[in-house]
Amino acid sequence: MSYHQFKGKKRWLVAVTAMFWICFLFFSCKNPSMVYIDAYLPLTGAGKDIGVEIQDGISLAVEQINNEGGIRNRFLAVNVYDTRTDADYAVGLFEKQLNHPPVISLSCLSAVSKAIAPIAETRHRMLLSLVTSAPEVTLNRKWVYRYWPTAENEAQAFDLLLNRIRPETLTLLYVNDEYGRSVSRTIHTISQKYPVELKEFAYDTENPSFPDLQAAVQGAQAVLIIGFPSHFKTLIKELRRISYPGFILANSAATSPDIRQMQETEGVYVISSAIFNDYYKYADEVKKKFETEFMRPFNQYAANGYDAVMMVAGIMQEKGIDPDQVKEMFEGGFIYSGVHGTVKIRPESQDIMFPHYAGKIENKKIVFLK
Amino acid sequence: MKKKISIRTKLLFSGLTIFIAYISLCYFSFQTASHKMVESFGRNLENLSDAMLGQIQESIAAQVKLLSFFSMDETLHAQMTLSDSLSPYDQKLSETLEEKFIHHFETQFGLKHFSRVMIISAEGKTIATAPAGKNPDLQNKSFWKQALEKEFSLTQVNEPEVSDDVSISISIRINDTSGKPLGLIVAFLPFEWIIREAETTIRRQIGLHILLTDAAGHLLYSTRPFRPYENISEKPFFTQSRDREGFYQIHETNSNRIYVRSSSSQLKGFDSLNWLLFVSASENSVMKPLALLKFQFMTAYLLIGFLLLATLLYISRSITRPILGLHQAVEDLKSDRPMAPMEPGANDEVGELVRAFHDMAGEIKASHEALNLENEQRKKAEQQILKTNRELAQSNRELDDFSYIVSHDLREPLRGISNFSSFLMEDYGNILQEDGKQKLETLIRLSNRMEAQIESILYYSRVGRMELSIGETDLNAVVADVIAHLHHLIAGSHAHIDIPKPLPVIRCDRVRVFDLFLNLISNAVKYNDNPEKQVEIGWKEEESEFHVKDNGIGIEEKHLKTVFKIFKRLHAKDKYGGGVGAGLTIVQKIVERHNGRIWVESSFGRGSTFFFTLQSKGSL
Repeated sequence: MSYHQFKGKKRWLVAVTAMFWICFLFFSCKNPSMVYIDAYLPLTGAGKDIGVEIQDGISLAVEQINNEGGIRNRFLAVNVYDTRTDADYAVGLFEKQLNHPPVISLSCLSAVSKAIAPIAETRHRMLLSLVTSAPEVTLNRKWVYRYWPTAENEAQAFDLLLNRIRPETLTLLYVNDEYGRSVSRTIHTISQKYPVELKEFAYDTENPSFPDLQAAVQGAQAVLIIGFPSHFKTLIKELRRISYPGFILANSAATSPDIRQMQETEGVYVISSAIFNDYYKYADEVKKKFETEFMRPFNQYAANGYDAVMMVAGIMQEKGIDPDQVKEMFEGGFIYSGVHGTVKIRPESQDIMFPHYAGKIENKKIVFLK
Repeated sequence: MKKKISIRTKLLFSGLTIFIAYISLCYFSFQTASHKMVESFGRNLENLSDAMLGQIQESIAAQVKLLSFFSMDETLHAQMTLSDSLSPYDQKLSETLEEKFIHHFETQFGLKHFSRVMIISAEGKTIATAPAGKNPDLQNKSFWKQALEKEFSLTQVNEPEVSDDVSISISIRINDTSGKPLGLIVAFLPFEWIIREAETTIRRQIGLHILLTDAAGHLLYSTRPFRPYENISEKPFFTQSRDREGFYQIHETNSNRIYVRSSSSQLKGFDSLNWLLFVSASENSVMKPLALLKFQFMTAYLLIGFLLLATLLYISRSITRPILGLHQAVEDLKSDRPMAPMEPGANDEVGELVRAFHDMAGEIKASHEALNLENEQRKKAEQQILKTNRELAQSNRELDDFSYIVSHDLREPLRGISNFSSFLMEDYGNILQEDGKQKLETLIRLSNRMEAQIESILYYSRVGRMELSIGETDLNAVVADVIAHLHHLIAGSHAHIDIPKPLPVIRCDRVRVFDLFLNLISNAVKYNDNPEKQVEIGWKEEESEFHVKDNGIGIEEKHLKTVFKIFKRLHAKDKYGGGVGAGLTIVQKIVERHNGRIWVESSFGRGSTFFFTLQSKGSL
């Protein structure tokens, strides 16, 4: 290569490098620094259905917040970690991120939240647990909050159902984890108000034994299913297969639109959040956006993820992007009008709850009971 | 000297100027569009705010209507009449209230409308309350008392012991059939329901931030998490809203927001309420479509800029490289270096120019080389000629010298021979036989002739060798001298000399020119057998040409080329007066010495004309 050829190539090299830097500066100046939130979600395993919905709800909120200019002119990003619906694995993931704390972390499902909560508490990391009913997750904690009805809260709606159906014998089929056990304990307490014979059956989520299940529901006037959507799908099919004749009651997992589409769910009594009420119009805009973007119906889990991020982002917008300021807001209590209605966190409380109502699946819709 | 600016620089500068002008224009357009967009959005926000106010009014009015309708229920009146005997309050009536005003809305619409509904006596004692579990004592409160007088009151309640929620109270007097007040129905409408109902009904856009405060700046509602009654009166959007009409822009939390403020005082019949509604949106969200467009445009401009730069570089390169090649080729041509191979160039005008130049340069190079070769050959020839001339001149000089020496040196012995022959004839002629006498006479004649020839050669040689004495000479005088010199010849032969017009004065060697005319005129007279001999001496001024014309014997065509050769005679030795045959040769020499030319035109038997020119410097 001659000197002139080299000189010519060098000139082009300089031009290309200059162009690269111009492009880099141009595009990088469009991205101010980010605000991060970590989310520990079950994207695989038994809780996958819930985790994916929450993730999409979060995505919708993040997109909306960033479309509005972000939080204090900084874009919001949520780092999602797949807990595989495994508490130990989730703990490992959470511990890995302790040295890079976000403003707040989100966890999902009672088992995972219960495992992570002590670490968050010890290390003073803000943790907001979603779809977490187990009361002990937030019990006696200062850094861990919940945005979901507790088992006791859900139980009030079950109380309404039991009061309406008044079965003499009831079999409680619950998933054998923190969530299932906590709800079963509450149901057990409530059932004492009624003259009902309660039989409990904790089913194995990995290999449910259908003969045992069949034996457990034999003769029961009503069956109450407590579990995740995937469990409910399996159990309802099995109950229909054996032509179980009694009332079937289920927790809010059965209210998801995809489950309601199943023929087997017709006539099932459920507890449900208001978002499935056709007259509840306060979530219409979000529902529409979600359905347009993800091509499937909006459900309570997506609503929970969406609302949690919108709520936290709103606090950061008002108070500042700082874990202490966010915590100070939570500690002092606040009111927030979200997708689930107007929710309140009272000072010194750790739980943000929204009401569940008793209903029945009829023609793939939930008819709310009066 | 002007500084050199390359074509590339000019092109890039032009491109850059156009690009900057274009970007500036677009920037200006975007700025104008942004301004208009903000203005348009601000107006829409104002309309939205007004619509929300209207909807708030309607929502409250609907609830008032519902409560009014209930207050006229006869069963309620009956229950109230009995209520004094009940303690602590009417359970059945409370359940009715809960069913009608709390549970109904909750299960029907998924959201409570009223946070609490109460029936109180005219004294403020609670008759019924819903939901169950709390029995606020209103006896010491004043907000409902106005309703006793005016049948209806609407008041903002900021007392947590009365209502958990930040709400307004609606108090309606319950009258019996005679119009006597039985008590009041008091309901608490939370602001969150009022505002959400309004914003949902008018289908507000997601992303709008709505705030409700009292006149003092205490927060009553926010679409973001909020603490009731938090004082936000110091916030810029609040302080700056006081003197504003319509929408306004505030820079807060690192970004601009567009705000609109509406006041409950705008609502008819809501005089008792005194709160402010703020509706705001992030300017970024408003500008997002434009920002996206701007970003796309900027990206496109950047790409266009790069393309323009690349195109200009390519164009300048495609122009300047051939031109630089041409320049190099010209330099090569100038310095006679071998031309560097030129690129064929693009198939355009410049390429055509390069190719044409290349062809032309090739031809120039070839002709230059041929010219060089020719020059070299010419130089060689010139050198050869110079050498030959030098040799010739040397040879001529040597020949002249030889002629002179020979003629000079031979003349004396020849004269001696002639003289001694004459002496012999004179002294011994009588003793010599006739034959010897004749031979001696021949010897004398031949030696005389030879002497004459030698004289002629000597003269010829002298004419060639000697320096001319150039001076102003009147040819009329010269010719007159010649005629006088030839007087006997002319007179004896009855010749007539004619000079049609006077001859000029020229610069010449007078003596040689005299010899010139002498030879030509004497020849004209001598070689003439015409009974009326005519000799004309004339000249043409415009051509500096002289002539001597006669009507003599003329010269045959075949001899015209040899008449100027020395000793060339066209006739017998003694015919026409004899002579050695050197006259015309001497004439030619004299003319040549005067840088002239001589030639002859003749018609045999009719006469000859000798033309000549004399071009001594400044001769005429």
